[in-house]
Amino acid sequence: MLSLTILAAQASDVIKVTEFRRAQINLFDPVSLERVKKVDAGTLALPLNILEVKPSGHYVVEIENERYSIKKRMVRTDRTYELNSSCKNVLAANLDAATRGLGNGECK
Amino acid sequence: MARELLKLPNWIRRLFHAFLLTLLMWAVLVVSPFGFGEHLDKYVQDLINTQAGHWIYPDTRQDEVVVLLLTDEIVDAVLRGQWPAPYSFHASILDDLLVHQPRALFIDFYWMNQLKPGAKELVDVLKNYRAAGIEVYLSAPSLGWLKNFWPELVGLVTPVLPQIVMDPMDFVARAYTQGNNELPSAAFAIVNDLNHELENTESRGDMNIFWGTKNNIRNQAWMTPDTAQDYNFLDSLLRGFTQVETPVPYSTTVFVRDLINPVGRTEDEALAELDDHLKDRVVVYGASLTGIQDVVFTPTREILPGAYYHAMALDNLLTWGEQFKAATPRWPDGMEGLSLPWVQFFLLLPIACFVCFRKTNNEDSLREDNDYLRYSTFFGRLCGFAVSRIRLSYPALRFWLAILFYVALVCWVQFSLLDLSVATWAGFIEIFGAGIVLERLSLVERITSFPKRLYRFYQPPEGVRSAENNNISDAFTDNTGRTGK
Repeated sequence: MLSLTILAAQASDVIKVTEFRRAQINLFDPVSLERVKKVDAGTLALPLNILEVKPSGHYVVEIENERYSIKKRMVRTDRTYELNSSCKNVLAANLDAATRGLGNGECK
Repeated sequence: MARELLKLPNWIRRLFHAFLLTLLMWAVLVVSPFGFGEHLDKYVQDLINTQAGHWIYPDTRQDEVVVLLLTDEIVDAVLRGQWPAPYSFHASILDDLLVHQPRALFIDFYWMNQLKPGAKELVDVLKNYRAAGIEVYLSAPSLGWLKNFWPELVGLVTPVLPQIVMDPMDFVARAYTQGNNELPSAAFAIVNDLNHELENTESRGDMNIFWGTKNNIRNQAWMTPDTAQDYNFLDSLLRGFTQVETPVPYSTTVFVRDLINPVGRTEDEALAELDDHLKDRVVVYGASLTGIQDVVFTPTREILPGAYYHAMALDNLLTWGEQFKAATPRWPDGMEGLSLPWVQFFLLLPIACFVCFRKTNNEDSLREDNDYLRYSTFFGRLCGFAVSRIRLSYPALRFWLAILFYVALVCWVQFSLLDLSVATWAGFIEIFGAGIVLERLSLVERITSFPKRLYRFYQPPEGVRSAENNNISDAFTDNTGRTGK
């Protein structure tokens, strides 16, 4: 688990999808993250340029002039990881007499 | 007649004393005015759980239950801080989890309305779970709820009760229900399906969770405690519980952020590590979100997300099976009809007999031993004096050690053989302490001698009685000096 959280990742300059881990790949809407369609991995040309790395576990790619997001765990990339993180590894239980507001918990 | 009774043989009198002492101790054990006794028992249980949990509770099944925890980071980063999340969000997480082939999945969320976004995706993912042969359990408020409000989920998930049983005295979540209104609780339903070994447990009522206290190596490798833990056994002995904390939990934990963003030295290594944590495990999918009231106060005085309550209950059931601890005993074969208070009464009787039949050693303890005076130096005399006192009090020490051994044995029998929770027999430990005080005050002797003293109180003083006797004698004495009858 050490590598899962203490070691977070940052994308280097230009990264590419080099391989698909499954025969069929779900394509999602990059904004709503709703599933748009399922395609055969073999029909997609590799390598695919990754346009954006999302904290939701998605990469944004362009396929046939349309932007989609695909799950990180479904692909292999040429990404090199810089192992530093701003994520907290604390199991926090709220002991404050205050109610949570919006946001500010993001980490990289 | 009263005098005759008071002149009973010594052994009968002592037996009577022993019976009375047993009655006294038993009353201390079972009577709890205003709940004070019960409160004390539970507090002792919590202290034993916290301080002796390392030795009592094995961590053999620690690896089998994993809490998959949704945290603020993901809600803020992915949902832009908006909560509750749409079903598509959960569907995506569960889809990622499915890749790692868990043994079973318990969803610790109430999903109350099928008309919200992403419901279809969620149903699709749950169908994939069914196809993979992975049993999914979903929190539901009642048995008929699923059928009435989300019939598409019938057959895909097993509805279970996620209810927390909090103690009204201190809000500690010690108990875990077996179910309510024919809806089984999450942990009981899962273990029943996995092991098929929890038969005929309904009569035992709520399970008493024994909270694991051993370190979880997997968690320790990456998690840090919320507060500094400077709590030790001496603190506990002197002050009991002194702080509330959120430590690195006992149950293995994976954050959702790490599931959806697998990160490692390489991508393959990250996925392999997730596999190592999740494959063939019972996964409890829950949340720890600031401001969401899904937390429990544990017997070890920790505040944890509610998912850990179910995880610990699961761990207890996987570890002990039918022998889970509860306030109602699990009688061995042939002893089913017994009543626990009666059994405890007879377990107390030998302690009372030890005390009442013990040969008094007052003479020994009062005997002067001036041997130490033969030493010429102060230090020598001090050591000699200490040794002589230990030697003189050895019989008493031996006696109390024997009682302590018996009490420990009785506690072990109740915990290990009758599967009773600590609070049910903690009274024996308290009685051991109180027994010393009782014995020192000779309370039983004072009580048993009370009628005798009352009898004497109402008798005229010895001189008056003699004079009255003389007058009576005079009245019956005739002139010749013969006393009449």
